[in-house]
Amino acid sequence: MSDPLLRVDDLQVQFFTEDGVVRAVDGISFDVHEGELVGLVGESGAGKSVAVSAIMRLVESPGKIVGGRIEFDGETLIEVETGPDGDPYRTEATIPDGELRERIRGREIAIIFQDPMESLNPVFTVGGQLREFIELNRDLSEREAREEAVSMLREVGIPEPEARYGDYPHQFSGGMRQRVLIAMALACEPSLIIADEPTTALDVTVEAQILDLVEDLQDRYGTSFVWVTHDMGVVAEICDRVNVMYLGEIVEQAPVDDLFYETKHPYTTALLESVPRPDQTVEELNPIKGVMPEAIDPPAGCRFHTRCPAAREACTTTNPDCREVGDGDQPHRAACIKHDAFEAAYNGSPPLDAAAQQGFDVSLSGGETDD
Amino acid sequence: MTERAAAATEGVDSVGFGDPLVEIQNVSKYFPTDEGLFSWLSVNRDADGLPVETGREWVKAVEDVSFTIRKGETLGLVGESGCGKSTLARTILRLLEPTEGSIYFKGRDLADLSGEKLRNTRKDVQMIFQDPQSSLDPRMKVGKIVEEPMQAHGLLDAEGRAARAQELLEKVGLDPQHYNRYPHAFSGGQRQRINLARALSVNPDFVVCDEPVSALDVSIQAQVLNTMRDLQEEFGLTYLFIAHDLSVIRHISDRVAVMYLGQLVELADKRELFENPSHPYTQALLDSIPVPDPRADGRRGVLEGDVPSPIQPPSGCRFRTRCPKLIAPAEYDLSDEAWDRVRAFMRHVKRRDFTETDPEAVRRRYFDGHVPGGSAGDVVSAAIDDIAADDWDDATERLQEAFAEQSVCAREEPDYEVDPEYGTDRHTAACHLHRE
Amino acid sequence: MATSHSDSETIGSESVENVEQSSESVEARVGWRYTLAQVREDPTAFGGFLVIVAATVVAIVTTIDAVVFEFLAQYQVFAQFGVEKYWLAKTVWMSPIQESADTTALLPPVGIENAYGQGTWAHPLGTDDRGRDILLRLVYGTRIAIMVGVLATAIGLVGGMLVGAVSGYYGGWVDDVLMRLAETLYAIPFLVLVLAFIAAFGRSITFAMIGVGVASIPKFARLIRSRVVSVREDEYVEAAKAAGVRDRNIILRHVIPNSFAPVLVQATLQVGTAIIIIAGLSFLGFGIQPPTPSWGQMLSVSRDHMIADPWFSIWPGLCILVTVVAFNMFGDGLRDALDPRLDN
Repeated sequence: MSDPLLRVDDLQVQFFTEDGVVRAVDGISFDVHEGELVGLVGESGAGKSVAVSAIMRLVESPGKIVGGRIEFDGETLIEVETGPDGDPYRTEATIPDGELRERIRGREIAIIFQDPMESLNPVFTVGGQLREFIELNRDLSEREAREEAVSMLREVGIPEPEARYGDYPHQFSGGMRQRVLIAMALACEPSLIIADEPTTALDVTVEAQILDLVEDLQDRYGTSFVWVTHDMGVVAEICDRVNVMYLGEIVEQAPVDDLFYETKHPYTTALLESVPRPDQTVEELNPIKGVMPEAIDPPAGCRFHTRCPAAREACTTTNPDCREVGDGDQPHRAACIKHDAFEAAYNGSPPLDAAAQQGFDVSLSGGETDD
Repeated sequence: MTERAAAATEGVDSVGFGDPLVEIQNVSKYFPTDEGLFSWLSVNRDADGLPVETGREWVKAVEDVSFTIRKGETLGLVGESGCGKSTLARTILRLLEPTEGSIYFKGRDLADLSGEKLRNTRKDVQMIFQDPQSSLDPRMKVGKIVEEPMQAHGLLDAEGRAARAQELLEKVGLDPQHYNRYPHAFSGGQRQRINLARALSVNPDFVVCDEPVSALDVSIQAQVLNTMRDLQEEFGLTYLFIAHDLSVIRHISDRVAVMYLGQLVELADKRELFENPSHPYTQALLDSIPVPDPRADGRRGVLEGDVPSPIQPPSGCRFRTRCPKLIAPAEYDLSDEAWDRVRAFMRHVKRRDFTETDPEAVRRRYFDGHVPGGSAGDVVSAAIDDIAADDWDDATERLQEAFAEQSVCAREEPDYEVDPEYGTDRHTAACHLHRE
Repeated sequence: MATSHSDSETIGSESVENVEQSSESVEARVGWRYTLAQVREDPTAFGGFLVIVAATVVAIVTTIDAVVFEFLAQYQVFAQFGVEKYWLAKTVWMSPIQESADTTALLPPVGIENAYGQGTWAHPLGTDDRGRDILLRLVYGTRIAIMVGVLATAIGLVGGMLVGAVSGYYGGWVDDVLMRLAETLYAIPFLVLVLAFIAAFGRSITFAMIGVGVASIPKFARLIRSRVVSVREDEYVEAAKAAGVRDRNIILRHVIPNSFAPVLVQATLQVGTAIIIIAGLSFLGFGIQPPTPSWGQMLSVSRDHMIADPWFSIWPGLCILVTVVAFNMFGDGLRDALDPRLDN
């Protein structure tokens, strides 16, 4: 396989708060090839947003990238190593801030956020903002940029683009605003777009329009995507490959079909079983027991073992990395010691307390209690 | 129904299980767009004479909605943002005044009640709100929050209320010792449980749930939904469950109602609705949902455009401006294919989706070179000429007048009954496709 | 021991906030104890708080002395003990309202010499134009400043709260009428309004106090109203309505406690303003009548002697300054303690 467009290697991001160090992203690795749409899926608190903002070095204090390497198109966006004194530092290979800002951000890599109102300035017209973006990043004259802006608006499906060029963000509906953001992201013809839950806040019919649009644009321009979401339906519809995150780690990584039909990690399985479906009536939902623990104090050993119905004693002592466990032609990784690829004595180990075994059963008085 | 539920409701009234408990009849709710001293005036520069007009504009949030909810059932009410479902919920509870219509609860019209009598009925009709963060007073202890409805209706004494509050906290899956904690100490899912406990404290018959799990994480949703179901069985509750997520609706409802732009477009038994959707909007909604199965046949974005403004909603069927099955006006006698082409053309002209104005190119692109015959063809050709002359507005108007507004969908409001394929419950659909 | 965990409230974005929130202790984030603990951590605010407490204590003691003992003196029960107004002061020191025979007027503070003589420890801060001890008069002036400042503000606060809460909660014509009235009052310059009040009702400290209170009602009313308008849209208010709670209970139990924070902050700042206004009134001759000691009145009298003995005017001015600044700093600290943590 050719070299990936984006390679994230053992990325670690930590937040240094008053209450302690939060290991928000604790060593994740994944890559994105050209023309691919890679999903990053997980619940709130898993660290997905932090991970993608690290790609463009947008992590804000008290957060800090403390380890790992991110390569994009042959360049090192960031490489952090730990010095002899234990302090992390950025190596020489890391491209400087100025270059990152001018060349990479917005041009080679673009980001689309969840809430368009955050990214659009409410006091400027939409067309004006788009045009300015194009002008700056594509070296066009103002008039040329304006024409380009109008045609981009048309391309993303904004009706009457000439007229709406002069409208303000609040005059657009949520779906329209998101289209504008997509236009802004595409305007500079980036090779990679990072989309952080762009359709979560939209109605389902509008979301469907946006998903169609994105697939269409991907076909036309061959842009690669990193798509962050919590919705397994969206994952199934548009992703080529998927990374499942839990509490700062990637627990499963597979092509989309394999993820759904040959699930290799108990968390993914539990997630799929706990969600109601639109295409069939699910009589009994099997919720995952408990809540995701805090990243400041993750469980010892495997981080999911406190909620895992298949947990055994061995799971409390080993924290498995994400390893190749598949047998197909495509790589399929999972971080669960029950697979043979791990030498840990899973099979010989006794199961954890009976309550975990019945983990899927949530009776009335056994809900989320503090203990 | 469990023994406890039967005991809870015995002697209260004679509404049996399965009988109508709540009847909504022709309820409408309009909001004024402007409030204040001069709201009845508006400036209109295009008017002849004085540039000032009288008369107010209204946001027609809910328009002529009628349905019945039976005791013990869960009626799911689904629709996208702006469809009026939350407004309807609040109108049913008289948190908003209905502009028109009646709301019968156990035979009494809530719209007629006021003051103390209305306040007393609130004991029987409770509501669970969407946002777990803002629906609990941050400065009040959780135990007191759960007791408040009991206190408002003078139930039990202080000790009794405290005991019952603790009992309820346990019932919904929380530790009763957390009675003295403040809401912020709980997670989102736990706060929704507190909401449940509060609503149940006065032993209501009917609970309106306004998107109770929408703001929760997916895995917590499942837990809370299970709890709600268990409580319904134990206490014999009737739910009106409002959501925008069809998967959740499918899981929890007995019957489902679909709303669009303030109107009720379809109502049927759950299985019937999902297996035999009879309204184009419902079908589009079902098709749009991303299915968590990569092998599923994905038909997705079938719906174009945006929801129209509720201030000036489309005449007749409000869905007609986006309906993929708009009915052709009878006088044109077009084939299905020709009509589809005309509609697509009309839509693209309105949105100005294309830039080439050369008539030949347009004809080729939208009609494969052959404009439809008859008077329909005349209109289309005239519109193409308008475009060539850069008169987009004229072209749009011409097409709209000739096609969209002549359709029966624009001239009459639909309301039909469909023969159900699953079960025997009534299946209503507001679509003229069923007019035969 | 597990700490409670805050699920994200919205599906989707997990920001630093979520991470930080989840590690907060389960202790109450509401209530006086918590707020004061927050204030204690802020040095300037805590300093202001201490000054206020000290001033209040002084004010209470001197009020007891001035009022209670006078009352007792009337009954001549303790006549043989010589109980009269300022009994406490007199037994320890000398009278703040009557000069003693052996005092010199306009003496400077200890260690300094001026045209009138040498400062002594008998009068550590010097004497005024009638030979009375300045320190003693400042101490007794605290009573007026604090009492009047606090009471005037309290009148404004309570009045403003009622008007603002009713106006904000009910809206409609009630809101229109009340707010137009408040704005009319607000349009009149503060001091002019107070003077008008005094002119109408009488030139006494009580009326000055009431006048300042009433004149500050519009400011509080508007502040509360704007908070109430926002709070009444909160879902828990709607939930209370849906539960069948009576309107007046909703206002008392939900709306007012949740609108109170910014108002409390404004109130502390307003006390400072009230003190200055009262001092100003006394300065102009409309407030406290001599011989009752008050800072403003002392300032007024010192005008004529500024060249000869500048210390006379410095001390009361300093007292006003310190008190008002203390209230301001405390108010700032309160605002920080109350706002971002709780309203989230």
